[in-house]
Amino acid sequence: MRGSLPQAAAPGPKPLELAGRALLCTVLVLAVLQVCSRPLAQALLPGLRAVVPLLDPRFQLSEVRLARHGADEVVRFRGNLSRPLLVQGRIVSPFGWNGTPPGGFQITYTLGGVLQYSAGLLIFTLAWPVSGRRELARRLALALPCIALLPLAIVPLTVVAEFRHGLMSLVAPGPPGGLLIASRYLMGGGGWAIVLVAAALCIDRARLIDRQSNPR
Amino acid sequence: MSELATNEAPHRPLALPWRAAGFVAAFSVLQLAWQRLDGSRLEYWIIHTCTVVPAALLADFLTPGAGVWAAGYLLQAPGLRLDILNGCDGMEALFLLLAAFAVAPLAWRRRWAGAALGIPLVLALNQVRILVLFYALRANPPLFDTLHATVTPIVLVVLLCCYFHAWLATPSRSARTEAA
Repeated sequence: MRGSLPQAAAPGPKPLELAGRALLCTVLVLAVLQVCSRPLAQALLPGLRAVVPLLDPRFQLSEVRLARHGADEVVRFRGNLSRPLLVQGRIVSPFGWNGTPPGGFQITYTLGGVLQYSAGLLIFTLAWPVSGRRELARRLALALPCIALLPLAIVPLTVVAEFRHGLMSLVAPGPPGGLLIASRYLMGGGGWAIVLVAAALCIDRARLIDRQSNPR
Repeated sequence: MSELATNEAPHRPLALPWRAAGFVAAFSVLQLAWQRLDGSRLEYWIIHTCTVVPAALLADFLTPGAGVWAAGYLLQAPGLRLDILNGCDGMEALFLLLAAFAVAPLAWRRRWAGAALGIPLVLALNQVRILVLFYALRANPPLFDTLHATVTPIVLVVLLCCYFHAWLATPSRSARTEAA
């Protein structure tokens, strides 16, 4: 029509509506997390135990369990070199090997730190409005594997990075290695970048699949 | 038909995966550059002068008897200290927001305005986070651990996403004027 402007399509929910939904989902997920963080972390332990040596077979884990660290409950990783290594021209033996003093590397991870990104992804997945239960089911079907895999990807990477950094600090102190940089990147917002991207893609794909299944 | 006189971006159907990749790339550049500044004067200025000192002033204003002071990267009071590093400085949250605006489907003026307005918002929200953590540490250390590891990071990211969405969803002033 003459004199009129083309109107852009509405980009989703209204800001206040989304803020309200996000707040509600945040409260609900955090409440569930407060109650269930221990059993959830316990369920992840076998996976965490399996992934760490896959990332770096030079280290072996002697212990992966829930423990108390002050007032906090944590996942505690204890490890050692799996065999003597040649590091920058020096033979480095595992702790307690052939008369060397006993010991090892220890990393603790708060339960909140382990589950933080999964909780965030679940919040964003639930907060964005859906057109119906089928779309929500599709969205959750896409998001739940990511929710389960996030701690199994990020936590072992940090553990191995810190083990390596601990080793190098003892043997040949220097600038942080690539894995430690990657670990600090993930812990410093990179994990959230992955969460936001995963949430956006799951929401978008579920909506597309829903529209293809139910053309209006 | 009248000419479109608005600063809204023309419709550019850049697929979401490409925007997502751009978002991760933009964030990565900012975050890795920040990590390289570890121990630098700029890092000290941003964390000590722009983050810890205002937090100490605010805490002193709210609770004059608490004896709060800023010491380097530490927010200190008798019997306790809060280390403002590794996320508590708010820089990662700021980088997430700036990266989102870098790839958002917006005209350049609105993109810059949204990012510019987001900077004081992130700083303000981060100050609130630091104060919440400080008072939790002072009153209830177990509560501090829960807030620090889980609640405050999630709430901060959720609030920034709400701001970003609100900016995307709200038409510019010129678009509203034209439509009126």
